[in-house]
Amino acid sequence: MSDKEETVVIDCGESLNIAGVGDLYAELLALLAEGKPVAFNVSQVERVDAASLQMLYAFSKEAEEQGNPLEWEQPSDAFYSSVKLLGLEKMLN
Amino acid sequence: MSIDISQFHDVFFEESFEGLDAMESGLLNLDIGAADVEAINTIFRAAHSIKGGAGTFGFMAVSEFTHVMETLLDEMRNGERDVTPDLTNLLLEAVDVLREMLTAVQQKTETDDERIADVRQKLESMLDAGSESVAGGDASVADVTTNKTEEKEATPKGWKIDFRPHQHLLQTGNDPVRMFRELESLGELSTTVDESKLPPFSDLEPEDSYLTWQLIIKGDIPKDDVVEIFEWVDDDCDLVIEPLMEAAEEEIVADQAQPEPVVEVPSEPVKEQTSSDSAAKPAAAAPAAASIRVGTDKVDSLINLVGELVITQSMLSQIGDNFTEEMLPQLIDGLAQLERNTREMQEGIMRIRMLPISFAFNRFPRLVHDMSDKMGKKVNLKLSGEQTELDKTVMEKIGDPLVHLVRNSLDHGLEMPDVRAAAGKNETGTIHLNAYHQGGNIVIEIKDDGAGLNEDKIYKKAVERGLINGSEILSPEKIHELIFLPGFSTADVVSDISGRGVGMDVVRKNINSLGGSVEVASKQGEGSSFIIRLPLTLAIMDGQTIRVADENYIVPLISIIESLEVKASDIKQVSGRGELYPLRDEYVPIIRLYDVFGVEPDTTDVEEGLLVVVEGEGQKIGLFVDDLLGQQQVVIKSLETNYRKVLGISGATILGDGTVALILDVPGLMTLYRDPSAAIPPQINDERAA
Repeated sequence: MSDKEETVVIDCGESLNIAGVGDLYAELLALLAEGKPVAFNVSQVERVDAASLQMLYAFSKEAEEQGNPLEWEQPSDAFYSSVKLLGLEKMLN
Repeated sequence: MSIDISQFHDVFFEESFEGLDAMESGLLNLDIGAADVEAINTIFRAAHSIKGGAGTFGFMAVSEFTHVMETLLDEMRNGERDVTPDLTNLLLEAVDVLREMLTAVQQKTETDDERIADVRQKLESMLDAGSESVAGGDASVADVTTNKTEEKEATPKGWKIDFRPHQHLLQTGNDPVRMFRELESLGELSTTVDESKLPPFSDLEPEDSYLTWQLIIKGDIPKDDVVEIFEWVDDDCDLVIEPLMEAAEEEIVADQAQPEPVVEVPSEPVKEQTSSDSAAKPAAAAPAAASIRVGTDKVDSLINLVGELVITQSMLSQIGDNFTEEMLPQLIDGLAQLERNTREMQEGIMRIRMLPISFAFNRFPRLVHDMSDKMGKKVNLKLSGEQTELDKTVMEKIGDPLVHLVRNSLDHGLEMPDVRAAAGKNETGTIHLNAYHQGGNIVIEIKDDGAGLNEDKIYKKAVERGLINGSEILSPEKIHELIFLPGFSTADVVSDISGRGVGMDVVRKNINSLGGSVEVASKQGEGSSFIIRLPLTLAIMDGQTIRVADENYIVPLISIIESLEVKASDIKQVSGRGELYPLRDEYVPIIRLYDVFGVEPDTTDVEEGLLVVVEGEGQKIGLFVDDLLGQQQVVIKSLETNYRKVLGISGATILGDGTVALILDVPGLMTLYRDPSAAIPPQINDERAA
C-alpha cells in the first residue's frame, strides 16, 4: 500500500490557518477515501494555528489506522514548536 | 497603527460609571446575609472592565488603583476572604475614590491625591494583612488572609491551568498556539493534551475545537499575568487556574483551610481592547450628557412600525393614483390604518424616553447604608416596582425631592434601635420605596415604620411661626399638611422637632413644577408615608378643553378642582381685588379669561357661563369660561421654543381639527391676577385675531 510512487505530497506553504482548513479538510478527506499515502511539506511553514494542527492531528491518527502513516518533510522550526506547544508531538513520529 | 482612541472616551466613561454603580449596589447587597459568588463576580467584572479600559486609554492611575481593588475582589470571589462589613466599607470607599478619579480624568480636573493614596494604602494593607488586619482585624479576616498568603506572598512554584475551549473558540479568532506561546514566554511550560473528544477524521468539523489541555507553567509568575493571557477567551472556554504547590509549601499551609482552587475567569460585559485592536471597536454613543440608552427591542419595534407606515403610505398613494368612487371604503380603511400606525408610533417614540425608575432608586441603598451607619440606626431598605418606567426628564428632576424625603424618613422618621425596642417594635426600621402606575400617572411611595408625624409639635410650631392662629382646631390630616407650608421649615426646626419638616415646601414645589403632587399620610407611632404622583411624561398631558369666544384653551386636568355654575348674587365685588366667589369656606378670586385674552365672549353674564376652579401654588382661582368641552390628552408644544415665553400660557397644542389651542399656566394666571401690569403683550392678540 505504502507505495512511494503513489504518495501525494501536500505543500503547506508558509501559513496554515483556520481560513484554509475547510478546503484542506475536503482535500484530505478525498485522499483518505482513496487510501493514498500522504506527505506534508511543512518546511516553509512560518505560522500555523490550532485549528490546522488539530485537523492534521486527526488526519494523522486516521492515516496511521489505515496503515499509511504520514510523512512530514523537513518540519520548519515554527511548525515543530507549534506542534509541541499544543502537546501533539506524537503525530510527527 | 495610530488610531485616535479619544473618540471612545465617552463610551468608556459612561460604561465605567455604570460599572461603578453596579459595584456599589453589588457591595451593598453583600451586606445582607451570606455573600454569594455570583454577586461578587458581578462586582469583580465591573472592576475588571474599568481596569482594562483605563489601561487601554492610558489612565494608568485609575488602572493601578482598580487593580488593587480587583485583587481583593478576586480573593473574595475565590472564597479566600470572607465578606466582612469592614471589607465592604473599604471597597465602597474605594468605589467613591475611583468615581472621583474618573470624574477628574473626564473633566480634566485635579484629583485628591492624598485621599487616593490613603484609600489605596488601606486596600493594600487589607491585602497584606495577616491576623492584624487594618480594619480592626476581626477573626474572619485574619482567617482568610493567612490563606491568601500562599497565593500572594509565598508565590507558588507556578500554575496549573486546565483549559477547555468551547466548541466555537477557534472561530472567534483566538488561537491556542498563540496563547500558549505567550504563556511559554512567562516560564517553563509543559503541555498535556486531551484528545478524547476528537472525532474520527471523517466526522471532524475542522473549525470546531475538540482538544483540551492541561498546562503547567513553572516560575515566579504573578497570577494576573496568566489570567491576562486567557482574558480574551473568558466566554469561550472553561478555565481553571490553580497554584502549583510543592511539598515544602504544603507543609507551611498544612494546617490552614484549603483555598477554593477553582478560579473561573468570568465573562466580561465589556471587553477591553488592546491598542492594536482598537480599530475593531465600533464608534458609538454621543456625549453622555445628551445621550439616552435605549433597549434594542424598543428601537426594533419602532423600525417595525415605520415599516408598516411605509406600507400604508404606499397603499394610500396607490389608491390616490387611480381613485374612483368605488374605492372609497378602501380609502377609509387606509386612513384608519394610517391613524393606527401614527398612534402606535407616537407611543413607541414616547417609550424611548422612558427609563425604569431603578435609575432614581439605585442611589438609595448607598445613602441609607451610609446614613444609618452614621446615625447608629438599623434600617432595612426595601425597593419595589423598580421596573416602572418614567420619562427621563421627570426622572432627573424627581431625584432630589426623593433624596430629601428618604433622608427625612431616616433622620426624623425612624427611631433609634433602643427607642424602637422600647416601643415594642423591631429594632430594625424599614423604609419602603415603591413605584407603580395608576391611571395615567406614576405613583412613588416612600413609607417608613418610624414614629410618624408628631401632630402636637407640628401644631405648636405652626402657631409659633404664625402660620395658623392657636384657636383653630385642625384635623390630623390638616396638621400633616402644615409641613408643606413655606415658612414652616427653617434651620432650627431640624434639630428641634422630632417629626419632619425640612424644606418640605421646596419638595412640594419641585414636584408641582413637574405637574405632580405630593401628599402625606401618617399615624403617630406607626410611621408615615409620602405619596408622590407624577405624570408619565412632560410631553403629553391630560387636559380639559374649555371655550372662550370661539377659541379653545386647555387647562391641565391636574390643576382643576371643580367646575360649577354660579349665581350672580353670590359674587362679591371687592375694591382693588375684583370679584370673589365664596366656595364653601373660602373666597376664590374670579378671572374672566376673555379679559385676559382680549376676545369677545358669548356672554359676560356669570350665570350663563361656567366657573372652573383651579389650584396652583396652594391658591385657588376661578376661571370664567363660556363652555367646557371634552377632556383629552394633548401633546405639549413649547411656546418658548417656537415663539417666546408668555405669562399665563405654558405652551400650545394642536387639536384634532388642526387648530391651535393654548395651554393655560395656572400659576402664571395667578401672577397676572395679582399684577395685571405683567399682562400679555398686545401683539399676541393681534396674531390670534389674524
